[in-house]
Amino acid sequence: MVKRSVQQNWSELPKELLQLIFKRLALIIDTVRVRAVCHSWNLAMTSCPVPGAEMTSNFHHAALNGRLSADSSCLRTLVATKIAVIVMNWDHREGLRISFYKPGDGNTWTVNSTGRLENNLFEDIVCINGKLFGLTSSGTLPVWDFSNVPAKVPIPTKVVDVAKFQCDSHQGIDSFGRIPLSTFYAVEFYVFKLDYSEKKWVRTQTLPAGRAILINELIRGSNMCVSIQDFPELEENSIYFIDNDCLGVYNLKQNKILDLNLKNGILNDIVQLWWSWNHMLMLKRV
Amino acid sequence: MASSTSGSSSSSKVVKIRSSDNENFEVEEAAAARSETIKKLLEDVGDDADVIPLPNVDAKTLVKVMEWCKKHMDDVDELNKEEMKTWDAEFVDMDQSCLYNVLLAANFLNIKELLDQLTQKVADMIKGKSPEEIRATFNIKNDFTPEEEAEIRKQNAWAFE
Repeated sequence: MVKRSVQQNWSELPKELLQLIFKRLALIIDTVRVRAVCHSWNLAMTSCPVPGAEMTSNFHHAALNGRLSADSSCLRTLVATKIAVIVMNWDHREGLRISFYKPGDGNTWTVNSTGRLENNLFEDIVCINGKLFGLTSSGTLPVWDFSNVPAKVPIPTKVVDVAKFQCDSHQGIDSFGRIPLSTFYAVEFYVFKLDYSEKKWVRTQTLPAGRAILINELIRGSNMCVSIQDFPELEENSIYFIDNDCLGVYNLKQNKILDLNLKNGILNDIVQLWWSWNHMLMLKRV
Repeated sequence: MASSTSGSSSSSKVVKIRSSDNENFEVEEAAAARSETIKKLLEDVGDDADVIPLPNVDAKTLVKVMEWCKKHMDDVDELNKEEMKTWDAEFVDMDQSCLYNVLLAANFLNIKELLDQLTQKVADMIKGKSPEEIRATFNIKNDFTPEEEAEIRKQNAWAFE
């Protein structure tokens, strides 16, 4: 039981302390919501040099240094790295635009560069170590490097363009540290590993140790790679998938679907995981 | 001169500190010096220090902060890192009233690592919550007029769906 002692007034917390807290909110949605709590929190947040103050009406999702989420209904996507915020906007006249924001003076964010994207349909996008990897619907993988962009570059340079591969349908990419990985679903799963220096995909039959992949056909951009340490009910080197309301597990080594109708308990856990992948750490089991 | 605080606890020099409600505590100097504020005060007064007064921190909070400082007194080797992580996680898991006081104390006493852990804990408590849930968690009164609140929500309607 939590002891009910004298209640402290958190709206009177000094502004600099509130800002230290708010800087740790990685998701834009949280930075927006704290503004609606009370006057002092609103003031502390709007004068806090984190993404949110200026751009909150422009985007839906943000993730710090990791996976970013695509809102397929309006094709707006955003990622924040330690050094910049990358926003993708769908403009009816110009198509998909990518903008690159840098922290400006005080609480402002300035558009550092903006440009058009020739590929306007991304299946999935991840940002790893300042590089942005976008898997297009045609199977190519343009890569932009944001890690060392000088202040006056008109648009971050596209550094790599990985050629497409032959496959019926592709699902998405996810990262194990530095390596983006691609999974595809037809009758079986093919997992490809990106060979960055050779600019090509290499098929692989093992996931990095202790990893499993979750795929959901029903929700675009919901694929992810998880550590089985965090989710002991999952088995490593396996792909868990939802397709047409059935949940299955595919083992990469054995190269086959092992079970098409997993037990309900596991199903619920995994579905919950998918819906809340933004808050994965909160769901971590002890 | 104040003795070096970098060594192990074997020398275990003790300093006295006094809370805002006039309780005196004896703490190993190496632990107390995790606070930049106390470290600075100790350097200023040298060995003449009788009792270091801490007018902003009450006894209950000071006990809690010194518990952390004692645990973090020595360098942690690789083996103990996991254990320390668990200890830290349990330490910050306190009721919001206590958390508030320890947060203010960590700020005043200038203990950066503790401040990092506490601000992360509060941020984790905010994450994923609606403004109403945040107010309930932290006992905050809604001091917006209905018009002001409607305006803020209108600007970012998507976040409040």
